[in-house]
Amino acid sequence: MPPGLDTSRAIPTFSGCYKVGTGGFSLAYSVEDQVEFGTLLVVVWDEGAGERIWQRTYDFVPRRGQVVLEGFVLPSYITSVGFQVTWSGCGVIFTRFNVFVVLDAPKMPMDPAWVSVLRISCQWARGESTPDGAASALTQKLWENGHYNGGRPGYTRYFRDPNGWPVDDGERFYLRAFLDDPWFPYGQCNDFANFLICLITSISNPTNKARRTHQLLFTDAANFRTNWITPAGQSPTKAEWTYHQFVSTNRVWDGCLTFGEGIFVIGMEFNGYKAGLVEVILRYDWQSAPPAGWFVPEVSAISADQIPPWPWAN
Amino acid sequence: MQRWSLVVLILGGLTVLMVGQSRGREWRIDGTLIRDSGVVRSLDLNAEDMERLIYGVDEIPGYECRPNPYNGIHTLIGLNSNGDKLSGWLRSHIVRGWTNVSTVKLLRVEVRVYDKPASEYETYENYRWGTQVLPVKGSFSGLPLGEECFRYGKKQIWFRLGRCVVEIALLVRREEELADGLYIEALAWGIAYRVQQHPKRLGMAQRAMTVLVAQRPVAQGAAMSLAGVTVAPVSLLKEAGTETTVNRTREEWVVTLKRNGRWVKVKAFSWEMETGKGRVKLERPVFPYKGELIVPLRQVAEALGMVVHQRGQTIALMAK
Repeated sequence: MPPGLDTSRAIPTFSGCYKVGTGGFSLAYSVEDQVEFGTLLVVVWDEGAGERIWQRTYDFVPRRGQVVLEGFVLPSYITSVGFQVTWSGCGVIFTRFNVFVVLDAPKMPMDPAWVSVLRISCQWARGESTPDGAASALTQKLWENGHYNGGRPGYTRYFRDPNGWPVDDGERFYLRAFLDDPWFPYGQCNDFANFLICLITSISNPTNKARRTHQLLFTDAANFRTNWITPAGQSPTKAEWTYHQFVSTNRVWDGCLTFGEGIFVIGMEFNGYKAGLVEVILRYDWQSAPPAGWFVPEVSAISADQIPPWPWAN
Repeated sequence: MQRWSLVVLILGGLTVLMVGQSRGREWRIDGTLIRDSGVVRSLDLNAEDMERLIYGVDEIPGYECRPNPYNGIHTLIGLNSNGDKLSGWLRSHIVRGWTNVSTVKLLRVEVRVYDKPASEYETYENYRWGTQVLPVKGSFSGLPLGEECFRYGKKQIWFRLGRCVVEIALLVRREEELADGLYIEALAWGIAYRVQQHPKRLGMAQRAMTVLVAQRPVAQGAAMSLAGVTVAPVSLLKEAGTETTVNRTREEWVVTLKRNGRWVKVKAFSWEMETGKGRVKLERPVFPYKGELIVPLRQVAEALGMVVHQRGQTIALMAK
């Protein structure tokens, strides 16, 4: 069982997430009323399509009990589903809540997944039913909605060892602060890569590794010039960078930029990505960075005001 | 009385509970989210103090504050960050985003205030570490903005003054609309003025200039030296017999000053003034503060036919 699994198999009426195509729901309810019996109306709609997908009226039911949602099956694709439960007794009262429909259990580092991330991932990947399809949609939507900050420090901080030396094989991503930015999604390449990992893993795709083109340096010179790229929210450019960070397992996902003016980096083969990104090496060649080859970013829930001054997390 | 006490779903398949995200003391006012972490330590700055450091939601012509569609905010104020711990850095900050009403360009201003001189926390050297793009030292104009200043490309500027660090960025989608660095810098000079004007002395060593008109001090505290150039609100010139006309619309903020047949026209965030003799480059840009425009005093006064004498912290305007 993954961490966070509700072993009681029950969730209260705030948002939760469920696997696509799941059925066999029951609704346990309790309402305070002056009459013992009433009518319960349950309406379910797909929030993406705005369409009602299931409805049932239960007549003469007790004010406290459980009803079976017969025939109700969650959609077979990623979306969010809204519930409205209306009690008609002495008067009429209703409650609403929604659940997120994802491919399977969310994966590290989004296990358990954040509601604020699921709200976005289920919107951007709505309609997708495969891990690759969802990752592609999320990468594209991040680029379309994002604002690359030009490469200055954003919502990521690095670690130091006890002697004060930088540790290159990890970083802390201040996810809540990133979500709260007035320009959300706004940040540098680290933030885009880390947030893409959060989006992708929240809908159960296990792609969760970040990688850099170069090791972190105290530097006064760029390491490479890019080919023509279009950073999110910016015009096409050839940038000179000390490093770039992206999402990589055996393939590459990069929501921070497109090659040229619209070639998305969605599941690109590594050597193709490398060739597409780098026009010329200006200083140090592409490196295995971090030395281990990849890291899973640590995700922090602290707010923007609590982020320590650049560049250290510890 | 009717009330739902509980509605529970029981599921036959997978259920995963969401993590509860920690929430501090926070509140919202329209599109502004405010958080206060000052449980143990405080900077003695409230939300209004932070607002004083930044332009108002309607103070930048051509721009307006639109709540972000995903989180509903355009302004974030963090008070007494790290103030729940007994020691270590202590900071308050304000960040606000504007959208250009016609081009949809995005503008962002952030001010961070520390418990000590900000140089103890943020310097150019810090920003050389682990950064994707290297900052370039100095301002766009070459003028000494703050105690330390650097920029990224043509669209972002950073400076430090007293206990404050300021960052201003403009985002544009199209190359032909590439931001003018001087526009960004004009915004920055306006923030530097606000830092120096702040009643809690966040600029630390600031000292107001005394302006004399007909041997009489006027508009005390409003005139300031910005890196050696005295700036003051245009209303101060009324005391010297200047007639003022303000044209403030959603798109522009222009003030025309007339005196003895001479005239000067200044515009918010411009580095030029128009006069009867043509355009004149200004030593400091024009920017708004508390509902009026702040201008380089000597240049504007002289263009209106006045004689300006300065000695130390005192500057005298005299009719020719």
